[in-house]
Formats: sequence, structure tokens, C-alpha cells
Amino acid sequence: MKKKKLKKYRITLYDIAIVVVFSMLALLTLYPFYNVLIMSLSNTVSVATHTPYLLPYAFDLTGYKTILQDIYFLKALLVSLFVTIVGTTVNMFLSVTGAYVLSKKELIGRKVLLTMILFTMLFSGGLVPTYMIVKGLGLINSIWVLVLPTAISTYYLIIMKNYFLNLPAGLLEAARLDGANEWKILWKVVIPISKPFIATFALFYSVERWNEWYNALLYINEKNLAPLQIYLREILVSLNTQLSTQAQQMISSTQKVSTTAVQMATIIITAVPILCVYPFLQKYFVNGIMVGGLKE
Amino acid sequence: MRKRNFWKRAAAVLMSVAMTASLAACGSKADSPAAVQDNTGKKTETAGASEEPVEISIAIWNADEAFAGDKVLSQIEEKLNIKIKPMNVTWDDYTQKVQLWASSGSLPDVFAGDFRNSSSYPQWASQGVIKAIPEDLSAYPNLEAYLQGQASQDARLDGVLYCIPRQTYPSQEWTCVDRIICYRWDLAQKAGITKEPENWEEFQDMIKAIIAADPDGTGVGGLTASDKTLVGGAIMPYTSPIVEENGSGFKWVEAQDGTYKPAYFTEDMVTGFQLARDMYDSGVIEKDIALTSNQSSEEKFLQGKSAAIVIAGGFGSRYTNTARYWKDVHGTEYLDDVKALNLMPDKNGEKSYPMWGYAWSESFINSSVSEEKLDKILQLFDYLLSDEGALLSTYGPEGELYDMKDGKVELHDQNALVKDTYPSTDALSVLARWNPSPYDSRFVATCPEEYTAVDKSLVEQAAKVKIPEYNQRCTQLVMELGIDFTVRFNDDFLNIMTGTQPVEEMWADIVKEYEADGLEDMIKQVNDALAAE
Repeated sequence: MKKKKLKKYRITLYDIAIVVVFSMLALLTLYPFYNVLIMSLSNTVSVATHTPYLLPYAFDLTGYKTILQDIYFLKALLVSLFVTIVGTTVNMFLSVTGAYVLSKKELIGRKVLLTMILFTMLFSGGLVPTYMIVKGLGLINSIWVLVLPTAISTYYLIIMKNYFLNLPAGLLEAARLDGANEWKILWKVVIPISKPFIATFALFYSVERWNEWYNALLYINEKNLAPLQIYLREILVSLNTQLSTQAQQMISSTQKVSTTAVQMATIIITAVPILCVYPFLQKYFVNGIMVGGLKE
Repeated sequence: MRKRNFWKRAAAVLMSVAMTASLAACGSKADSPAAVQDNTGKKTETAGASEEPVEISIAIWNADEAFAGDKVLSQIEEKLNIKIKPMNVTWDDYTQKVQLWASSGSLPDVFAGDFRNSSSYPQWASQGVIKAIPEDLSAYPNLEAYLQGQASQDARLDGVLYCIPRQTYPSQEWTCVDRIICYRWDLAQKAGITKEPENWEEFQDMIKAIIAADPDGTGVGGLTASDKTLVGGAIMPYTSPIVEENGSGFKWVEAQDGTYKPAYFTEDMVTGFQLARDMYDSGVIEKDIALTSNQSSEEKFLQGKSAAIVIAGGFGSRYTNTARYWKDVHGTEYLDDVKALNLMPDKNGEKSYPMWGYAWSESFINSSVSEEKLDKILQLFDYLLSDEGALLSTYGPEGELYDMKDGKVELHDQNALVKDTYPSTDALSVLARWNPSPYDSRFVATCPEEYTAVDKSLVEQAAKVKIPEYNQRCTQLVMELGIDFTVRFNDDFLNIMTGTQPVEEMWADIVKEYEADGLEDMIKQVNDALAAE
């Protein structure tokens, strides 16, 4: 029996090749992040003496201290957290309800609505008209400008609609016969059986909201409302223009904080919160992707 | 019947929603005179009684933090009876934001940027986006005197000025410090070099000797740059000091046939490009120069891995990032180890340096400002250019962070930053012009005096260099005629320098591309307009 099992799971050359290739690919993906990490722990003198490739030549947390003491970093973090939590909630609510409604073939004017939705996916109003509408709606310098214009993704809406369209009709019919209305069917039947699928899109949306920067670049003119990605962009492009004077003083004072260390520390701090979301949604993520490929 | 009613109602609702949305989108200031929403997103009442402070929205780098409120800002606001409202832009996004605001009619009252050499400037002027600076400035004597400068004269369109250039240097010779090559004199001496280089050949020999000897065992390489686009500006004066201007501008010179043409296409560009190619091929310029970034190059130079570096904005401009760490890394003084390359001779043996405009960027005034607001804006600029305003906006009130000693500012704490106490100085001190410390001895430089002395020595050399003849009127005509033509010097330079085909061939191909872009047509238009005057 044991022999049989061993035979079944015999390691072949093919397995070894796969492991080696994918380990190398994993290394290629991880190394830049590792390099950013060790650079974030460096200081000017250590970087000037040795370029850290594999081992850190210093363990200096001043870069992190500098960033964490910057009031604009903390404000940006709060803005990004708000946009990610509220934005993803709005995204999911509108996408799920919208997709469910559009999956109903008996909906009057369904084709017209779908055509109109598809049209916006292919053609946009353009930068200036969009700006004028956002301005006209009083959303300039409002935190809601980071939530409302991106409240729904047409692409995700259509994928969700197709998924709901393929749900077993009998299941929904059974709920209907039991007296459930459409709201109840959606919340009590459709969403529970679509958890992996919905979690996947929640992950997609939350990553998009966390990485939101372009709308902020266009519509936010107050530093207090800038999300973390704008902060990061600024700090990587021109360090001194973004940090508060207190943090700048740390850099320009005798503490000799490396600008590279500050930049790399910002990258690490900015990437960590969204990385924390992945482990929780990973199991759904894999299932969700596979579900999308199934058809009855 | 019920179905028809439903569609009627649905159509009515849709039409009303569409109409509301269109009205909201098309609404402008004119639609609601009592209260308007500007692009700060706040509703503001229109100017009322003249006793009320006049609100001026200003978009300048880091405005948000600078205009948060402090003693200097309050003092200036009270003095002029104004209220400054910040519109934040950053170094990274200001061009995009200003263009977007200009396209959507959302410009602030005053905004900063470098647009006067682009096609946007004449377009904005002709479309009435920006306001003309009044001819009669007698009520603003400091501004009137300031606008007599060459930069302001050159920025006139049909004799009318539409911007206030932000002066960087007081005169032409100062632009020599805009591109400086710093080299490792200590390594050169260790490699057996005994004389500082006086021409490009000696410079190349010196760098080759340093690389070959590698005295510190750091694997020292060739010339790097704070930015890859700086190299061309440092080397091309070998051909002529006026072939290009800051990567995109160009001056006009008289050709042999009596017509005027851009110097970029009349001078013997191949000699300059060939020099760059030779330096690149021999390793005098490092091989990965095209990939260099500000920080990596400065770190390389600090690590002793580059024999030389091109920097911009003066010898002391890299003090904060490089020079002040030098002793910690090398145990020696920066000024003993590193020297600034003297002005190099051009192909004819005459000293040469990049002769560019000496005012980088400018301030514009929104055309929709009222006469009262325009008066206040001009008062603000006039005050910032006055002795009192310049000192207040740079160092705060006298006696608090500084005292005047022998007609010179003496900071109480050399290491303290004025903007830590008065954040508004960060924007106010550069609203009208850049910090004049390089040429105005009353002002304190941001680096030790020994560094500014190096700049002054270069400027002394540059003052003796003859400025070639060129026709500024042609440059103005390009703007006035609304011709959208720029040279792509940085791309051309890098492509040819790092290319493998013969320099002449590559340059000929590039000229053909410019011809396809309308070079000949532009030359004809400008010469016709010039002849008609």
C-alpha cells in the first residue's frame, strides 16, 4: 500500500523543473520587495559605503520614524482607509444589486440598459467634460470624489451579471415558490451561494480603491485629503515637497536620514495594509476565479 | 394604456434628470452671481464691499502647507487687505493640473508654472485665459523696475506682457552655473594628473586616467548626472552656447543667405554630438547614463563610483544630498576632493557655457479677475519685490530669526529652517522671483559660503565670454504666430550619443524628422512676418 502511494507521488524530472522554474520566478518577484526592505533600514553613510544587495549593512529605523511622524502620512493613511472601506462597500452594493437586476431576462428595457452600460465601457466623456461635471456636482476637494465617480465598474458589473445569469434557475424558483421576494432571494440565496465569487470581486475592488490616485490627482487640491498613493507618488518623485516641515527637519538635520531609506520605508508602509487583506481572501480568490470559468 | 403611461412617466423623469445634470455640468460663475464654487470646492461669496479683504487664490508649489496661516502671512494679508487662498500643486502634477484648469475654466486667480516657452502661452493669451499685465505700472514701482528685465521683454506677445517671469539669475553669465561638472580632483591626482583640465581633451584624459588607476579600488566609472537630460546642456556649448535652451527652446541666428533660422539647424551640431559620442564610447561618460536617476547618481558619486557628475543650479545645490555626508564616507573634505570644471572652450577655442534664459517659470493672472483684484495682486507682487517684502517673505520679521549685520542677513540659528517657524515663506519667497542669494549678498545661501564662491568664480569666467548674436524677435514671432514647434534636444542628444550609426547619418535623419514636422514652414512664416514688420 505504502509502495503504491509512493509510486503514485513519485517525483519526476518534470516536477523538479516546475519547482525550480517557479522558485526562480518567485524569487524574481520577491527580491525587489526584499531589496526595498533592506534599503528602508539603511542610512546615508551605509548606502554610501556599500550598496545593499543581499544583506542589510545597517539596521536604522529612522526612515520609518520620519514617515510615521509626518502628519500628512497619517492623514493620507486615514483617507485611504476610508476610501477603501467605504468605496468597496459602495462598489459591492451597487455591483451586486445592479448585476442581479440585469441578470433578470424579464426586466423591461434590459437590452437598452445593457447597451448603454456597454457604451460607457468603450467610450468615455473625456477628461475635461468629466472634470466639469465633477466640479458642477460640487465634488472638487471632497473625499466623496474618490468614491462616487468610481462607484461601479462596468466590466465587473457585466462579469457579475453573467455569473448570476448562470445560477441554477430551479434554486431561485424554489425560493420564489416559498414566498421570497427578489430582495430576499438576493440576500438569502444568491449571495450566500456566491461567496467565493463576491469575495474575489471585493478583493479586486478594495485593491483598486487602495491604489486610487488618478482621481485624487485631478480633483483633490488639498493636501489634507490626499490618499496614500498620492503621498507615495510625491515622496518618490520629490521628497522635500511632500513631507511636513517636522519630517523634513529630521532629514536635513544632523541625524542624516537617507532619503532613499525614507522613500523605501514609505513603500513598505504603504504596501503592508493591502497585503494583509490577501491571506483572508485567498481561499475565496482561487475558488472565485475558477467559478467564473464554469458553465452549466 | 397603463404601459403607455408608464413609458411617458419614465421619459419625463429621465428628461428631467438629464436636464438637471446638464445644467449642473454647464453651470458657470455667470450662472450664479451670488455664490460660486471655485476649484477649491468651496462656495465663496463674490467680492462685496471694498473694506472686506480681497480673496486671492494662488496655485504655487506646496501652497497648501505654506498658506495654512502664520505671522508672516497675516502681516502681509493685513498690510494689503487681502486673503490668500491656497490651491495646492506639486512639482509632479502642476503642469497637468494647470492645463486641466485652463481647459475647464477653473484657473485660480494667480498660478505658477513654466509655460511661457510653450504653445500654451500664446494660446491662453489669444483665447483670453490669462490677463495682460498693465502697461502703466507706476503705482507698483518695484514691479515696474523688475519687469524691465530681459526675461520680461522676451515674453511679450505683440508688445503685451501676459506673465511675470520668475527670475533665477540677474544676468546672462549666471546661467553658466545651471550645468556644472563636478569631478574627483583627489582621484585625478592619485592617478598622476597634475594639472586641472582646461579643455575637453584634457578632461577626457583625466577621467580615463582615474578609471584606469581606480585609486580607491571602488571600481570608479565615468561621468554620471543628477539627471540624464543634464549631460547635453553641459557638452553642447562645445558647438555653440545658443544651439538649444533647456532641452526644448531655441534661438534664431542669421544664416548665410540673410534669412533667420534656428541655431539648432544652422550650427555645426555634429561636432558637439561627436564629442559626446566619443566620450560615451570611451567610457568617459558612464554607459548606463540613460538609466541614471537623481538619487542613484548622487549615491554613486558619494560612494566614489563615479569620477564626475553633472549637476544643475550651482556648485552648492547638491550640498544637502551629497557634500555634507562626504567626510563621514571618505574622511576628507568635499571641497578638497571635488572641483567644479572650469568653463570649457568651444570648437573654436573660445570659452563657452549654456546661454539660456535666466528666469525659470513665471506667474500668470487669471483673465476673469476684477480690476480691484488685479490691483491687489499687483500690490502683492510689488511688495514681495520690495526690500522690506523680500526680507519679510524670506526670513520673517527682523529680530525674530535673523538680524541685519553690515547690511547682510545673519540667522540666529544657521541650522534652523525659516519655513519651520513661518511656513508661508516657503511659497511667498518664491512667488515673485527665486531666492536671490546667489547674487544678492544680503541674502543667506542654503550652503556654506565656500560653495557659492565656486559659483562666483565660474560666473567671473563667464562674464568675459562674448554672447553670440541672435534674433530674439524671431523667438517672439514663433509665439505670436502660435507655431507649435519644439526641438527635442534631450532625446536627440541621448539617441546620438548612445547610438551605433555614424553621427552624421543619425543627425541627418533627425533633421528630416524635423522637416516632416514643419521646420521649413516655420522658418518661412517667421521670416515673412519679420520682413513684414
